[in-house]
Amino acid sequence: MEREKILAALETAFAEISGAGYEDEPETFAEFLESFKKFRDPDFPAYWIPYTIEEAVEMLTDRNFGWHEDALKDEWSYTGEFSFICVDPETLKCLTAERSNGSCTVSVVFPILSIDDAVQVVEYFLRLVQQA
Amino acid sequence: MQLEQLTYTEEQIKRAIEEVWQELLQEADAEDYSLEEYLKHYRKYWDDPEFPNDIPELIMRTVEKIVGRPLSWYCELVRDPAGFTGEYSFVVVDPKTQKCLTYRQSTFDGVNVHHFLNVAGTVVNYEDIVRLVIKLLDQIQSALADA
Repeated sequence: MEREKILAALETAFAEISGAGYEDEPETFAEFLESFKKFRDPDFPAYWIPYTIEEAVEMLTDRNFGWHEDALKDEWSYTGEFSFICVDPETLKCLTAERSNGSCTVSVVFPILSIDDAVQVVEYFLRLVQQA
Repeated sequence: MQLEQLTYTEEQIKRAIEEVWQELLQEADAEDYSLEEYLKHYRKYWDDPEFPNDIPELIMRTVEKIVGRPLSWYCELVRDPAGFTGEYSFVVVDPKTQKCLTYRQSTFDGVNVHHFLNVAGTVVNYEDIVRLVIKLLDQIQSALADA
């Protein structure tokens, strides 16, 4: 899928997510990620990042999925990494589960500190959905 | 053991917790340290980044012991800005089928279908551990019954 289409979906999704009760001046998702890169303190609404990505994936595939997301933290602040688990509610299959060396992992972890990172993560999920 | 035929009592769960605790101590090459003693220190040190990781391991290995085979799982230690809240959020997947065993859906608002992948619970004391193991086993069993 073209990058432009993914970027547009991310911005639309971010406007929906951040529009709910946020008093400050609305900004673009790209600007929001720049701020996150600078200020990863515990008060930052970091969960808007995975929610925006999930919403964009659902918009682009025109489907709903079950998601679990975690904004990873060390003892001081967000690390900039996010873990995702994605389940197809029709089959209950965990799309992010991966078998390797006899064991099976459930989540995938991505650093998301720029709009390019976000586009790559959306592309990853679009591939997963296509493969499933 | 077939997961579908899963039966368990609270006594079995308590025995399994003790066995798993002993295994964890052995693996860590730790001195004999009772779970009660550990839990006394637990609330005091749970903001230490490493400390509460023993709890999800203890809970899931107990669940696996009752189920009779390994499961794939993810556990989030829920944190608010003030630190760890004591809540653990588990997502469990059957490694054979890759099906999510903790998935539920709800239309609690009467409009939209909401998807939940996790089973969560707060652990402050021993009874909370037993309760969370039972909650996970009940959910796993009902997921398999629906399959």
